[in-house]
Amino acid sequence: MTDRSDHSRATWRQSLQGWLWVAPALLFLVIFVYGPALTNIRFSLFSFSAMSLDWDFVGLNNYLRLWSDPKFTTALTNNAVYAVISVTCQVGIALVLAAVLEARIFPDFSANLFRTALFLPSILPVVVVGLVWQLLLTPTTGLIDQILWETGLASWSRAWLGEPDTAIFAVIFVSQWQWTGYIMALFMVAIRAVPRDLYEAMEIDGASGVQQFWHITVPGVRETILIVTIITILGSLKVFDIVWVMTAGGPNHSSEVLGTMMYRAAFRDDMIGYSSTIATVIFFIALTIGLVQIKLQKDR
Amino acid sequence: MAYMQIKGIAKRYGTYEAVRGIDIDIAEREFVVIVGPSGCGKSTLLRMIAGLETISRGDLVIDGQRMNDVRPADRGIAMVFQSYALYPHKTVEQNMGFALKVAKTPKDEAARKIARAAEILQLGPLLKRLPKELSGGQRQRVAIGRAIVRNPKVFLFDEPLSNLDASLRLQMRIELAQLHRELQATMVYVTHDQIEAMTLADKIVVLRDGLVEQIGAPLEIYRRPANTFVAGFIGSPKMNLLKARVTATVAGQARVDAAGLVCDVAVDHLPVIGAEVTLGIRPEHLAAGPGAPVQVQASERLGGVTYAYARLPDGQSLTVQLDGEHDFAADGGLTVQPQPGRAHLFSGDSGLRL
Repeated sequence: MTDRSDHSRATWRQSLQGWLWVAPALLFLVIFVYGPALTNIRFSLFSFSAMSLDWDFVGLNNYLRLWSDPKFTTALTNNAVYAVISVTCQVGIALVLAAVLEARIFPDFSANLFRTALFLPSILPVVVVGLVWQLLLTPTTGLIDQILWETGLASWSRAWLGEPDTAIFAVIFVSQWQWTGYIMALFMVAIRAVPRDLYEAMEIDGASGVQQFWHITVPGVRETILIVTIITILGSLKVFDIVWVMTAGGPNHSSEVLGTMMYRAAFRDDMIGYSSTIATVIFFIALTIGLVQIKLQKDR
Repeated sequence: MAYMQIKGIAKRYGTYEAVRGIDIDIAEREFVVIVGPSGCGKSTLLRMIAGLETISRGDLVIDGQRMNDVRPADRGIAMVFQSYALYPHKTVEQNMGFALKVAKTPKDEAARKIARAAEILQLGPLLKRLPKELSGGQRQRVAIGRAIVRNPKVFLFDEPLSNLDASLRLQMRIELAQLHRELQATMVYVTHDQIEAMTLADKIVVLRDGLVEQIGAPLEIYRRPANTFVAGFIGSPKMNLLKARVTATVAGQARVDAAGLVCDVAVDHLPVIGAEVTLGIRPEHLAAGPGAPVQVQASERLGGVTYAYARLPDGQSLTVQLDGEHDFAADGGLTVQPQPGRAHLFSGDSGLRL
């Protein structure tokens, strides 16, 4: 009996010690993450401005208003397109690039040069990238347009950031240019962890480079593929900076994303409740994606 | 099955030459074991045969065809890796059948080949399992099965038993010998373990620093090592190599004295009287009895035999294998005598057999 109570006391002490160790981090999370997230949900049920003392409780009206806002549909669609293209480029193309650079096809010097060149954009500040590409994409005087003119493709020339049909795609393109090399570097690390023997066994079995990619590289880095895919989707959902710098959601809200819509509602239109509603929607979409990731990882 | 000729093969990495011109003839159905210490170039040589490393110099010929520039899959070889290199996301069946799938072998023929290999290696119940669900020995069998289904001209083994524990290694050694008898295949096997070399090989190739030290049948190498390196490498415990002086010579025989251990040794090349030589004598070829006095430093009693680690009066170390029943003080004196006709003599300068 005494033994058992001693044992339970020791367990309790161990458990308390564990909680004390995580307490600082937990406290930080509660104050700066979970607390604001929950407060944000409460804000979304009110209509108020940042300066006003009167808060009108409007229930789910902000959500109904958002649902019927055509800008919301555009923003959500743009985020989805952003995510699809980002996953294709940053996961698909980055993985292929990493596999090619790790396959020892190129001499070491060339491979290092490619790797550095592809990685370099990711260390530049987003604002700088946005402004530089704005200049490059400027109609008539921009480098892109000039190249099109010089190569006889003048009919393709357009105001890339000024036309509703192309604005969001131009922004997405710049984002891929910036981040594909970074994801490629992550994949290169993952591919290096795949035992070399497996590729050699495949070579002896007669597998081509493409077969080695599908049968060894892809299954070997699937954990990284899953994590990178989730990170990329979440990044696409939360995107704000590059869009704001390059188009600010224009022209005519055609390149609006949830991030810019939320920012505009809060800091331009002073509708904090409505902005919180958008933030809450982003939060729940992100939460769902996170849960899917956890489920998928557990299944493996 | 095929014969193979390795003609003056070398491998250079920048200025360093890992393999420095090796010649080996491998007959059909022969089991050749390449043995040597770490870094001697044995794995590099095997990888050049497999086509996983380019050949810097020399020719590799399999069944009369020069293979230097032929891709690995077309050389007619199959390789079993030290790490097994099983595809982790494929089942045993898929692992064994992958090469057949790549070669677009008809499904029923592939299934037949897999079934046959599975039967030989008793893998039938494991076909649907993933490598991570198998023990080390089972994984090794799958790796061998993957080689068998390809019906190669030559099997290559790169230290395949190194990752197994001692008892499993013994079992797999016996199974490999049986497999060789059953398949009647040409096999090239790389190991640093001289016991594997002695028990499996038809022919042993001893390598050191990228060069061949000796090629021969296991017992031939054991009985007539070409130099002090081979003498010390083959045999367990290793041969005693003692500094000695030639005291007399008659036709084909030299008498040597190693700090009181006097021995008559048959030689092909007579040394001059007074010459400094190396006397090689295996622990199992020394017996307790009237002869040279030695001081025992330590002993290991294994039951059947006892190893006495002793020193000659001049301080040279000597290992003596005694009968397990032999009684002596663990740190006392002992007198030993060499068994007649079992000692070896090597040049004191070059280390070559005299």
